[in-house]
Amino acid sequence: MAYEELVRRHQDVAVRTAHLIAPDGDAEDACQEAFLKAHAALGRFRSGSPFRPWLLRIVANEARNRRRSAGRRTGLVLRAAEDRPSNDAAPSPESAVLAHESRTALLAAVNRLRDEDREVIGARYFLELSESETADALRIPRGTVKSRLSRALSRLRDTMAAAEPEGNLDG
Amino acid sequence: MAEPMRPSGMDHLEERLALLGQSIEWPAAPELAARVSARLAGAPAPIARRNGW
Repeated sequence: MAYEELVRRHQDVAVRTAHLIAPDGDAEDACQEAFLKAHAALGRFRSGSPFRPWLLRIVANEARNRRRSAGRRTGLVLRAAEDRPSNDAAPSPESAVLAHESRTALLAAVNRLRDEDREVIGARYFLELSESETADALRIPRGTVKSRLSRALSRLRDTMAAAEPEGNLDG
Repeated sequence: MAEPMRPSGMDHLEERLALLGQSIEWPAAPELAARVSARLAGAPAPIARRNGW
């Protein structure tokens, strides 16, 4: 079935987008509903346009609705085994612990940000969406992505600084 | 100590965020495509389409 193949091709980024916005437990349902809504709306999809941003807009909208009705937020978590050195040298146990603590602190700071800030940071750096895709998914003008991201990064720095007053903030 | 090389346009915080993204535990949804197909196969056509809106 052609649509099932389309779902398969885009399901990872769709689930991650939903997970970024909807509370735990709601993301997958939001995603499923979004794919069904996208199927029902295929007649309104402009042929020749990229499918992914159009789909992500529907996914994000569905996820936002679920967050609104659930009245609670999402919280991203780290994988248990997350150390993936970029070269062949395995990190020492000490540096692995420090890297883990650093990532945990950064993720906690991201999770403390307000929804709008967390979403734009998540879309750009975690999902690696383009500015244009981010604009579509978050339903904001493309120019607003840049300004919102800049403010979000600034607030993230403030959040990190507040959490580590003696901090080693090199961002 | 020399500043490490970074991807152009990214400051250190952005670089850390990009690395953090690789460590996030994203849930997998391996059955999603099959479930969507099942819903499409079993569910009635959308109301708007049935009524010809």
